[in-house]
Formats: sequence, C-alpha cells, structure tokens
Amino acid sequence: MTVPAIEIRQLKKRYRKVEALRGLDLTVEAGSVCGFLGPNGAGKTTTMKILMGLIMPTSGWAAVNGIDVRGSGLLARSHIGYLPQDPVFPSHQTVRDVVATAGRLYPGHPHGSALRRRVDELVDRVGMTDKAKRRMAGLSGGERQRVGVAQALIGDPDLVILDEPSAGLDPTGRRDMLDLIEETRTEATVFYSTHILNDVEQVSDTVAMISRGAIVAQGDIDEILTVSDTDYAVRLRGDTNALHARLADEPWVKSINARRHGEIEDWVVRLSDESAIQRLAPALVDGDGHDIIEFHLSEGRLEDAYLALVGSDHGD
Amino acid sequence: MRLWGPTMAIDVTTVRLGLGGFFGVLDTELRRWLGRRGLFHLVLWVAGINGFVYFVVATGNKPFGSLGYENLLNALMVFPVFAGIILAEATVVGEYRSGIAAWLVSKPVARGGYVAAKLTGLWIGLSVAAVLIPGLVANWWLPQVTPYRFVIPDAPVFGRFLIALGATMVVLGFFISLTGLLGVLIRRRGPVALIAMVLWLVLRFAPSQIRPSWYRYLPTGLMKADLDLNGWIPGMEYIHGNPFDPASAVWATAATAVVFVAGAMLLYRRLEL
Repeated sequence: MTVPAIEIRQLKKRYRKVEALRGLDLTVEAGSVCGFLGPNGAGKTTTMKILMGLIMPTSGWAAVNGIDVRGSGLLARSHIGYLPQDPVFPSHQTVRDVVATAGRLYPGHPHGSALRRRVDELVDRVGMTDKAKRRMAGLSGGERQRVGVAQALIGDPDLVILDEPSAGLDPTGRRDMLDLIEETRTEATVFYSTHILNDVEQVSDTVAMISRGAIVAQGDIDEILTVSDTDYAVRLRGDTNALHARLADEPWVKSINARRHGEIEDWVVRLSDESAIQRLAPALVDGDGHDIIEFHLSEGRLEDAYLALVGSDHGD
Repeated sequence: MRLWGPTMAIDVTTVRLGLGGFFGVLDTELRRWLGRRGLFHLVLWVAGINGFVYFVVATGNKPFGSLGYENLLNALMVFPVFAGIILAEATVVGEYRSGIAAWLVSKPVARGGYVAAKLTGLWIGLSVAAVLIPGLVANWWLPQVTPYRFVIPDAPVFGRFLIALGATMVVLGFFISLTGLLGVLIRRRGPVALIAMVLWLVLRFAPSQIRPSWYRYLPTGLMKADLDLNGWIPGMEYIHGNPFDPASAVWATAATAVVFVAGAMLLYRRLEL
C-alpha cells in the first residue's frame, strides 16, 4: 500500500476567538496533483503552514509521506518544496543566489559545480535565465513567483506545496504556472491552493474543497463533477432577495448556494428529490424584480460543484 | 532525475540539539560576509576605527602609544558593539517581520538552528571585519608613530593584544546574543535595540559603589577601563576587595552569551511564522 503524500486527521487551529480549522481531515495520494479550493479565510494557508511547521495546530495530526510534521518536522520538510503565498526572499540576493541558498539548506545537497548546474537548470525551467543575475528587489510579483517555484523544487522534493501559485499573475504567467505544475507532476506530488476553478479543472486529478475550516468534498475531480439529478443551475439578474428567501423556506429545497458577479447572480439549487423540479420551475418565474437568464440541470462544471458545496461562503 | 535524497545526511547530533540546518544557514550567512557585505564592513571599520584612533593620537597630549591603544580598545568596545546590536535586531526582528525567517525555516532547518546560525554568522562576520582586522591594522601602524609598545607584564606583547581583541569579541557576542534574545521576546524593531543599548550603558557606566560582588562575572569588567593597559594587569583592579580576574570575566561573559542564544532558540520554537 502506498503511503499518502499528505494525511491530516482532525486538525484544529484556533487563533484567539477565531477557529481557523475545525477538525480538518484530508488525504492526498502520492503522485497526484491536488487542487485545494476554498474561499478567502477558509483555512487553506493555515493548513499549508501547519504542514510546513510554520504554525502549530491546536490539536490533531498531520503527516507527510507518513512522517509526523510535528514530531519529525525536519525530516518531513526534507521531503517538501514550498512556495508561500506572497513569497519574500532576501532583496539583495540575485535570482540564482536565492535558488542556491535554498538548495544549501537541504541535507546532502550537491556542492560547487553540481549545485550551480542544478540551479541553472531550474532557473531555466521557470523561464528566468535572462534575469538570473537580477536582484530580487527589482523583480515583478510574477517573476518572484517563478523564482519561488524554482526554490521550491531545488531540494528535489517528493511533495510540492504551492500556496496560491497563480495569484496576481497575468494570463501568460498563469498559463506558464500551470505548465510548470504539469511538468512537476512527473517527479512529485503537487498540492496547491487556488481560487481559480478553471486552473483546477485543467491540471488537477484530485480536488479538496474547504469551507470554514473543514473539508466539504475531496476526491477525484471526475467524482466531484458527477452530475446530480437534483442540482440545478440558475442565472438571474436584478433583486433576488425575496425569491431567495421564499425558496429557502420550501421543504423541497435542500440548499441554495449563490455567487454574485456584478449584476448577475449564479445559483446552484439542490432539491430534495428529482420530482421537485416541477415545483422549482414555477416558483422561479413567480415574483417581481428579477429576470431568469438561464435555468438548467447543473452540467457538472467545477464551478457548479464548488457553488453547491462551498456556496457564497467568503470565510470568517 | 533525483540528484540527492531528501532524507540523506541529516546530522543526528545537530537535530538532537535542535540545531538542524545550523551549518546550512551559517554557510549562507558567511558567504554574505565573504562578499560585498563583508567588503563594505571591512572598508568602513578599518577606515573608521583607524581614522578615529589617528585623530586622537594626532590631537592628544598624552604619550602617543598609550593614548592610541587605550582609545583603540575603547573604540572597539563601543562602535562594533552598537553595530552588532543594530544588525542583530535587523536579523532577528527584521527577518521575522519580513517573512524571510518563515522562508528559511520552511526548509529542513530547525528554528533553533536558524536563530543560532544567524547570530553566530553575524558575530563571526562583525568580529573579523569590525574588530580583528581594524585592530591588527592599528597595531601595525601605531608603534610606527611612537616608540611606546603595547606592553603587559608576563605575556608576549602581540599575544596580549590578541587576547584583548578576543575579549572585545566576547563582549560583542554577549550583546549580539542579548539582542537576539530580546528580539525573539519583543519582536519589534526600535524597542529591542533601545533596551540593549541602555543595558550597554548601565554595564559600562555603573558606578563602582553599586557594583555587586559578582560584578567580575559580567562583561562590565571587560567593558570598562579594565580593558585598557592597566586593567589587564592582574591585581591592579579590585572590586569589593577582590582582584578582578579577566579570565573569569571572559568565560562568564561567553557562557552568558551561550545561555542567551539557547534562550532565543527555545523561545523561537513557539513563534507563529
């Protein structure tokens, strides 16, 4: 049996009055690319920081490759390459220096020309060869992010943890980051957090969704996207409050998860059973102040699944 | 292709001491001192300390040599120590607040190893660039301008001078480690340096009447006039009827510095990064 790359059981973290993680359970299989999805403040960064030993959990257990991250943190971290959210590196160091510095911190690292070759190879891989001698202070956010990936890979890790790797990148940068994740999957398990559902669909084979400090869904992306006969996608415009309140009170409506984009509001309405569609359709057209733009069975898009599971929760 | 195994070569002894990754971080720090940072400090300190001593020698009215060495050792006990306090604060508090500490300890580096390596690297770098080399440069030109030598009985002239520089480095280490400990405790730039500097002033200028009997085990003995020519002659300096013992002061100060570093290492383990 293969040891999971990440195994987390009943992980809790409390910051004074805020409960950031509420008994989180998560398993990431070795060799997979796992997208960690959730709204701001859901607990993604907290989970990753606990795995990296940067913060201590209040209770619970977490392991990387079967190694307890609290009891044997040093050994666990020797298996991990980590890109933090908003990475900060010494501003006086050049791109090459940062990657080499990270490399020297791994036990048994190569020295001299072997280390230089490895650094150059990674700098090239992230597309920073022409800026290899530039100081970090002069780089853009996207360039720092690329250097962050290179320094995460320098220790030749079994597991790469990337916290919001494509945040703040332009479309080209985002595409390059996805390509890098795609390339990395051949040599390591990748566990990365993101808000961008489209990215997850493109490169992940498993997904874990977190909301308010607990996992609400995890598994193969195909399973998550399985079409349910009771989930309906509705796109509306205008004042939807009255309609939302009325439907939420109906016993045949299990949940309504909403997300607003400007004038438009997307709902995923989960019904108690398939026959309830006969009640939903007339109920939607009833009432003033809103227009129905689209109404159909949920198509198994990740966005619909995300809305259904996480909904309009925007964290704490 | 795997170039090296992630679990290879983790040194068991350093891990047991909570110092895992110490040598990796120290290597990084010392590389900085061997590069532009070291060169900058070297030029600054050699020119600054020697310029100061030359100014005093050229304008003073005592015998040149005595005045020069006395002021050289006093200058080395003041300026590099203050720089050490500011740089230790920038290292411990600055890297904690900027996120660089989090980056480094997200690697296979124990927090204790990180703190100890940072403070040790700073101490070695500043000791060499701001104390040892400026002191040796001064020791080369000072006798050329005066017949007076740095003479202390019962010891080789140059050896005694090196011991004096070594004692200065111990005091520098004491204040770097003290600032490191304060930095981990308070984690705010400004107050940390202020407290360390006030402590320096208290130790340096505490009137002899209020010095307790264990005074000789504090860096005070090394910091005050005891480091000048007369102070290093055993039996010349009495505190509460006991002769001042420079060797005890050196060992006690060094041991206190190690305790401060150990305290900083322990406290750093509890920080959220």
